[in-house]
Amino acid sequence: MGTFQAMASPCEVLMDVSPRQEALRLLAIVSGEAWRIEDKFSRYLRGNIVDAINRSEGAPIGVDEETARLLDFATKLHALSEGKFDITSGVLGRVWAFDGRRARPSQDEIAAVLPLVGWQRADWDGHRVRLEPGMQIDLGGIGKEYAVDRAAHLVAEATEASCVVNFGGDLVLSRPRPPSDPWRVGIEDVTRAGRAIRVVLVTAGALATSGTTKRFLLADGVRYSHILDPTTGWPVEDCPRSVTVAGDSCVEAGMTATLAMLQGAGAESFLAAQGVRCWITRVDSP
Amino acid sequence: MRLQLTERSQAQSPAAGDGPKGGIAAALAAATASLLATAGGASAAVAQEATGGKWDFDLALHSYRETDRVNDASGTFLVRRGRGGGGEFRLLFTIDTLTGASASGAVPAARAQTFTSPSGKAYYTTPAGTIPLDPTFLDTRVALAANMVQPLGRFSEVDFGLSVSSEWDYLHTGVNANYTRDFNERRTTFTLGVAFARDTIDPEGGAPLPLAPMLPVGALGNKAGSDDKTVTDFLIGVTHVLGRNTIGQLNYSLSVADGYLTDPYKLLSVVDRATGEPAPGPGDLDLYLFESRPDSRTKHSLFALWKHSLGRDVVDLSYRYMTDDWKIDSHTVELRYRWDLGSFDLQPHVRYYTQSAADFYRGALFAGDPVPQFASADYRVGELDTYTVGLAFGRPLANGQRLSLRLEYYEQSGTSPPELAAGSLRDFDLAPSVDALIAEVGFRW
Repeated sequence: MGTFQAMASPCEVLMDVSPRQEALRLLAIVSGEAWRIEDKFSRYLRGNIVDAINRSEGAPIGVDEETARLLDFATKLHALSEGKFDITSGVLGRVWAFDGRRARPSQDEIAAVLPLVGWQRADWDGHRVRLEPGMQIDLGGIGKEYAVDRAAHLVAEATEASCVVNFGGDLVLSRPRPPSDPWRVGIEDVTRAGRAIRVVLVTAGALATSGTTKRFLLADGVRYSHILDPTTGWPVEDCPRSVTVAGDSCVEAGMTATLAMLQGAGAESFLAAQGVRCWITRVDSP
Repeated sequence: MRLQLTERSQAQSPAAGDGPKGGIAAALAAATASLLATAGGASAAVAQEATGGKWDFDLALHSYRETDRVNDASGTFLVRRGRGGGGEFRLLFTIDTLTGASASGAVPAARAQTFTSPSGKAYYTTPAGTIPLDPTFLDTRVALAANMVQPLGRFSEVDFGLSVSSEWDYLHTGVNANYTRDFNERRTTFTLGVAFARDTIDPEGGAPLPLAPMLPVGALGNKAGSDDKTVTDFLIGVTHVLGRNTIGQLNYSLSVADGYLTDPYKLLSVVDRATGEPAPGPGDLDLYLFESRPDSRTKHSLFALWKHSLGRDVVDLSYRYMTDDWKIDSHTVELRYRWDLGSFDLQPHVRYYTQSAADFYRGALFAGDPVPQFASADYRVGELDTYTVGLAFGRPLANGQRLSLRLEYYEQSGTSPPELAAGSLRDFDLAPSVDALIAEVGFRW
């Protein structure tokens, strides 16, 4: 196993290879790809394409092919979720601080930032994107899963061995394994961090988790999840504490989990209708 | 704040994780394939919870009560255990008890009628003007079915099964196999199924000879041992994602039965064409003949299902058309709505079934007419309409447990053949409707 840190998450590669140099070579491939994607798409870094778009002040910005594919994907997700998945919703974070301390914002504060939210307001033609002044995009909701799949793709090209690329609990197998020899993956208990409560056997594909585990806001005795509905500016009510989904790719699994969280109380029905394997945890406070 | 951990694993429900993806999942798969530029290159997910000695259980108790006729009480116990690599092992145990009376096929008469019981050892009598019911109807069935599901590579799955069931006069043994394969980024699932069954029937008192007369107690010249039949079924089906919230399914199945297809306990009255009165038979009995059906039956059926999700609710509409070489055509329409109310769900359900009569269906035979090669007065091969309305309630509990309740009302109405408007038979309702109440309680843990 090799580990490194990227995208604010512990990242690891589980490898069944020898010698050690081979493991190090694969680890370098994975970490290289993770850091490349983080450098290119992190909204916290200066000078990358996301920064250029966010500081464009209404000017159209031409993007490269990889960014275009991510924006196309975000557009499809926005449509599929009826506006609930929105890469421009990050500015809501200015009024909702999910550090467990600040009081909840007033409706006026929320109303003040809502005009800056809505991917339908962006002008994206497949090559150039133009945001209204003050709007920002954040690809963080896709980036980690995308990096996992990209890295695993490079690992698959580099070795016949089946490796697990795991960035903070979102993981994919680079190649299928024989059914008799699965990877064992623990799904964390939200009430007891670090202790696996369920063990899932994976021989192909991906597992990804979306949750409200660590970030929340307590105000007036109400626990607000950090899952915000960009169509209202308010947190989604009654969403599960975590949803883990099995998918063919990490992006697919992660986005299914995210879309389920955005359904709030309807997460279970949504997942049941999608026919995916999933594990849902709810913590109810009476 | 007291924390209470409630967990639900959708993977425990047999429907989830099998078959095609829902509309949004399928659209997402397509979008992901273009994002990652890996159309068809991604490995289909094979993930399941490690059961490590963990088993899943479903217990259901079921009651079917016809007014004044058959009562059926049954219990089913389903045990499931995940196997490595996405497979599953299932064992279904059923015990089922039938009591009450069922229509024998004989028609009412203006006076009481006496019949020899199937064992040939006793008589029973039905009052004047009522549909003759055979009150000796009592049976217990024990059934066991085992299935093994095994993924084959990334997109296919096979399911092998064995079944055996036993009643004191009936033994069923069967094997079945199903193959499913996902195509088209899992938007389309193709299913191929085959099943073979061999059943032996050893009726009480022996299987009656076709259209032999009912004889007085002690005379067994009309019965001859046991008999058997084989049934082979084929199924070909396709399930396809029709849109973001819609799934469609189309199945064709063919069923070929050979051997003893007659019901050894069903009778036909022989009546006088002018008066409608029972014709005299052997001894002190009136004349009743045991039914006779062809020794082969080929059924074709077409099934279409449309499943649409309306936000949290799901609506299911299905239609089945069946036609066979006994000239029975049937249509079934069924509508189910799953109404998600957060902590529980309600499922209203309506079903309508109608069938035409088999070409050998006769309400009764007339004295003096030549005896046909095949004849049956069993309402189940006559013209028949049934209606079912029901409501199911489901409530998920902690730790993946689930409680379900179901209540349904069933009504069946037959049509009496026009040639039976003979003499005194005109005074009787020859095809009274039968209603039944169905109740079920189920628990999963």
